[in-house]
Amino acid sequence: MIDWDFAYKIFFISICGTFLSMGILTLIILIIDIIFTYYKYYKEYLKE
Amino acid sequence: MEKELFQLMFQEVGVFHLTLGHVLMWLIATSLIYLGINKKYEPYLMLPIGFGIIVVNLPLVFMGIGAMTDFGPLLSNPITFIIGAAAQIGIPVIMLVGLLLGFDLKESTSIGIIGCADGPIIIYTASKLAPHLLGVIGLAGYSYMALVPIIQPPVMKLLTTKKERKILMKQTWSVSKTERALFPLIASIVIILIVPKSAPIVIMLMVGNFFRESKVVDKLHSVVEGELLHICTIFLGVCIGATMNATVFLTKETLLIFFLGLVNFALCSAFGILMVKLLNLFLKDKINPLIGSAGVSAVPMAARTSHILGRQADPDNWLLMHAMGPNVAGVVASSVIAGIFLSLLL
Repeated sequence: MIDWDFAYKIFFISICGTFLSMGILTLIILIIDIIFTYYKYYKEYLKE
Repeated sequence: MEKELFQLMFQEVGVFHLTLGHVLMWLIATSLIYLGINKKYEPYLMLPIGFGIIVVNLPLVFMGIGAMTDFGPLLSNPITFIIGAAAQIGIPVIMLVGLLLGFDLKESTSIGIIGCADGPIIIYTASKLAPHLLGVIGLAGYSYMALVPIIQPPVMKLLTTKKERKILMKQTWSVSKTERALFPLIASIVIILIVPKSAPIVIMLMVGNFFRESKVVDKLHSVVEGELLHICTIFLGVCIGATMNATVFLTKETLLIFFLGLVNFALCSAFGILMVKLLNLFLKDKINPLIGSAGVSAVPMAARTSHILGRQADPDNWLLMHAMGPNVAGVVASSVIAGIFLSLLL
């Protein structure tokens, strides 16, 4: 007997969990990119 | 039932079990890694020890792939993480179809994971959830990975217009050496804190990549990328082949699994393309939808297929490096979804 209720929940949790993890990684990488870009400009500014 | 399932998920989420001791150990590990990379103090020991301390203190095999993977295109265009996630939606869809066709939950999940198009993940998940189907699922996965240039183009052409295929993408920025070295550490921490059961897959992928990007352990990198990967491939191939005796393999279930695997590949490619089209509604610099299908992993074959179709539409359209972003994002996303399945079903 298939537990469809459990199967649907696995379906939604797997999709939401994957998007959540990848979304968090996207935000972290974007923040790091911004920090590094500003740091690069700041170093160039100091050289000038 | 609902309450129990969410309780199970929360118990599994590592971030709720984090203590001050874990964070202190991360600081010690970071110092070792810093000494290894920046000061060149015994990097051959400091790097593996440092990485090991970080991952073992996350409350809780595929190192060669990580050592070969360049996450640069992904880091230079982080939105492609989302495309990689979208290209995994076909996996739970096929899980439900498998249930309808008479497979049990663990079997249909293992069949669904074929769509991630990543050999080690397919084998790892199938060996845990449905070891009796390991041979068929492994063979279907690797066969379709080789057939990506035949399976994907019809789906890509069906879901995109000629005008969309001609979209020229903006040059992405270059990624610094520090960012490249930081990524495997950050990705390991984030993913394992959210989905601890994906740890064996994510750690092996990321430690291999960490060796590559640190640039101070060339010999370890070369062994992992070369000899170790070849040895693993030999054992993997022989072990999968050995599970396929006639009584197990020559059944109607085998045909059904191959059919579902094919549909799965097409479906995952389609979801990747559709996600790009959705993102394009909000983005100023449009993304060529052809790179969406590369989100199914199958590195680098899927990215190459996107590139070839892009050049067929416009000979000046060079999509390869853009497509590598969702391609490697698919590797990360598929290890996450496999971890979620293992958390809920084991």
